Amino acid sequence: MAKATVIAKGITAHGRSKTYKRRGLWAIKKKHGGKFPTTPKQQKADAPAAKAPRFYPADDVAKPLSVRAVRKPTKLRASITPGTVLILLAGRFKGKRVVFLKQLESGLLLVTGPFKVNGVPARRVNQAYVIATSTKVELPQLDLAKFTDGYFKAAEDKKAKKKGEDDFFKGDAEKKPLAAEYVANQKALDAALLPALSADLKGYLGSRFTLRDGDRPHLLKF
Amino acid sequence: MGGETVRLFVKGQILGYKRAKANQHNHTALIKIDGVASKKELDFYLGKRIAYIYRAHTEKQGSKLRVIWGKVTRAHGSGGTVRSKFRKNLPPKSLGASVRVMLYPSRV
Amino acid sequence: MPFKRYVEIGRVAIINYGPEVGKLVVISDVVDQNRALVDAPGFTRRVETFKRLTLTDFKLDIPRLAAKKVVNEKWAADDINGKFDATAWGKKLKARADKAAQSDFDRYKAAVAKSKKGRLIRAAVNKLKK
Repeated sequence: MAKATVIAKGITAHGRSKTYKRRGLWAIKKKHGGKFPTTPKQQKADAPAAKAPRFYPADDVAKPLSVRAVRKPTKLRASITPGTVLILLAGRFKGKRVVFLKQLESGLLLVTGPFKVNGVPARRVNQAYVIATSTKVELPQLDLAKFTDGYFKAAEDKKAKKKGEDDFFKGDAEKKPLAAEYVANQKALDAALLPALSADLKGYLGSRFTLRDGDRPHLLKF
Repeated sequence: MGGETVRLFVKGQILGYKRAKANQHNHTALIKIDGVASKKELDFYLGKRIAYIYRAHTEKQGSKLRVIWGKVTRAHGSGGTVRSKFRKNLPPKSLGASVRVMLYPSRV
Repeated sequence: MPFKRYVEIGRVAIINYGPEVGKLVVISDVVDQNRALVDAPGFTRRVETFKRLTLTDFKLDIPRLAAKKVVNEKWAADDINGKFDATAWGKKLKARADKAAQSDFDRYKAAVAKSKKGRLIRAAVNKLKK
């Protein structure tokens, strides 16, 4: 079925009869003995008769075009599965080894140190800034429903608030303590995760990755 | 950025610009990455970000160090040299200087 | 010191260059002063230059241009692979390969073991110093 050319919004190049032919409606009619197949109307509950609006807007309001494109979800690298130990490559925690928990809606990875082991809280990272190692942690049943993109977004927004001039001259106010709920969530996550880590693994996660003289990252196995 | 104990980049040298016998193309710089001797080994570094860090006289944002970012675009020949593009073309004084080839964006 | 390893028919060598680097082969025939025909079980017989061969101490008792069957039999009877792996050279190659195959976690464990060992040695030495 070739698509009809759109001349303007809501007007196509094909007329009524041409559309009839194009859509193959005649074939459907023929198949059902000269009539269109009908489905019995469902009995709807009587809706209160809606009053027609008394006023119409004077100007046409532009209706936004519907966006049909669906954003493809970010593809997770095959080497990253829940429980994989990752090496962070940039940012404040660079070189830290962390445990991958799950991929969030936005495509970012949810990871944690765990905080108790190496000080990395539950946080989001882009998979481009991460090396996946071949080491995997056997993850216990974890309740990760709390950790969504919104959870982190809220935390970041508060931080990013611009400093006013007053704040600037006053200098940095004393550090605000983290929200109690945030701390509690991290504690609960750590408590669930820690029994799954052997002493060796704890030491491993607690140490930082770094390149030394003579190390060739393209030859290293992770 | 001083005093860091963690190194997460590989050093490279700026060899010069892409060129022919008489013509030079300043928009592409050739870089030799440490420890890479063949085209086969080079695959790991394709797309990696490069930082050319240099010292300037005037302090900006509290630091005399400045950086020009770029990335590895493709191999140059078969000996492990790469071609790279920078946001601003590298200045001539950078020739022979060393750059940092970062480990991201990672594909491992 | 005279040479102890000679280029001769039946001499076992290691390929030291190319895609089959590290492979043990036996000299089946000498083509000229630069090249030899080399063979091994599970290996397509071919000509290799001496530059790409390193001779070992082992020698198989095979005739010139020995058939594959003979090579296979003699190789298995002399247990060339096992014998080579037992030499210092074979162990070194193996250790090198093992090290290259280490994962990040393995490297961490090795580093911890090394520092532990160093601590023990230092403690023992200090004790003796007193």
